[in-house]
Amino acid sequence: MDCKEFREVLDLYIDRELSSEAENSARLHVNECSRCRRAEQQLRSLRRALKEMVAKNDPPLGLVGAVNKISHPWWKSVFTPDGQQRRTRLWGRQVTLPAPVFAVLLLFVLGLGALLVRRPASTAPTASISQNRGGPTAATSTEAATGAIDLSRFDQGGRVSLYKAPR
Amino acid sequence: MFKRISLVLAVAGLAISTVIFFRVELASVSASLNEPSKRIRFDVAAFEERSGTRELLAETTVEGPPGTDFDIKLQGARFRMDARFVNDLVASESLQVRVDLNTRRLYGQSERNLPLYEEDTQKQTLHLGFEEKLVLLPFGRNDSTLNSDQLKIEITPNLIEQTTSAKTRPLEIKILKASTGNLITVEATKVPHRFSWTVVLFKDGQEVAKGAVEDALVEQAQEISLKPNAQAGADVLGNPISLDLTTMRYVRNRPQDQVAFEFSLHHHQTGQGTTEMTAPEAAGIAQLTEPMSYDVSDYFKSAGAKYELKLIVKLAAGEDAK
Repeated sequence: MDCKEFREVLDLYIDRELSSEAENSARLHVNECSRCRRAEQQLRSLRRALKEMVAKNDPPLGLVGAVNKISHPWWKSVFTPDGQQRRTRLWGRQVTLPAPVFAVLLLFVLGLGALLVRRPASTAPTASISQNRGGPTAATSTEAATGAIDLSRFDQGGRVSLYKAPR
Repeated sequence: MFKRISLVLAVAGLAISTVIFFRVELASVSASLNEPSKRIRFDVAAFEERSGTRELLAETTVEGPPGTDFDIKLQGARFRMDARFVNDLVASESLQVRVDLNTRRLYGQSERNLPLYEEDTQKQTLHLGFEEKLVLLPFGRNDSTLNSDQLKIEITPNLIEQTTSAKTRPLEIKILKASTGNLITVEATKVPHRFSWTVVLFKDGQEVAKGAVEDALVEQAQEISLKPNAQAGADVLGNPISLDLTTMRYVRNRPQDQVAFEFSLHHHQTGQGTTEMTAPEAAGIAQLTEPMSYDVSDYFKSAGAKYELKLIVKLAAGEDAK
């Protein structure tokens, strides 16, 4: 490895991201070349200085949460692209069902819903009529609330009657 | 000389007849002004009765000339009553009251949550003296439950005689005590009740029979016999015709008021003593004094002839459309 090649991979060398062979070649070159060794030391000292400067100033509290939300949205914890289950809450965990089981469950839920909706109309027409004569009802309560006389107390179900009487 | 005497006598006769005519007219006008005109006041009172005690809920008076009608409406949350009173002074001390009672009660709800109503219709005709009153029980007699509340509406007629021209006064409604929540409402109207009818039968445009009735009360059936005249043929002479005519109601309309009516045409089979109803249940709405024509050719056996029935209705004497 010559100087030009070393300078191209210097960042990767410091980050230890080179392959083992490339890293050995780079290390041999640094030991032999004083200029590249000095360049490596300068870059390491620069990075260290930057870390020290950044460590002195804490980020705003809200910024950490906002960045976490962007980088780790809730749905990522449910739908993992690689199929691996992450640490999520119980209600947020991914549930996988076989397609036939899911179809059966879906049909059951839809059928139950339809049954509940149609239940009042499906009663046999011969069923008894709900009669509310005599007793107080919501309508009479409304009447009482508006100050009108409640007629239900007079109503015994009789037929209207008209007759003459002496004065 | 003879001409002068004749002229003087003619002028004198004209003057005397003019004076007599105007004196009679003035006397009759004066008499009509001084004659006590009659008005009738109905006191309508609604009571709540319980264990012998009664509480006045509402009170209204309706006053107007004879023939004033009124409606009493009772409106609750689940019960409604419309009572219509059609009144006529048939004698000096007697009223004829025709009553239409319509009630509607919410019975309950169907299984489909639709309201179910119990409806009742009654018609009554009562002759009421001024020493009597009408008692209306909207919910019937509750004799079995003596301690239960009972609603009673009493209608008491009063005859009022006034020396002034009472006909010009409009009818009046006075609310002496209003019911809470518009429970009971009273409405009054004055429309003509008495009509005169003329019925003419034409055969090929020629009058062959005629009949009339002078004082037909509204909602009361009248039989009008048609008397054949000299032009009537054997088809009419041998089978006298009569009408069962009922004036149903007076209809306010513009430009002219109308009268709704129903009639049935009857053929009387002489010799057999039977009556054949030939044109049953015809109906119409006629304008006052305008003839209504009906083609009744199909009900006569003379082939080729056109028989036409014309009915003309007018207000009876003494009736006022205003």
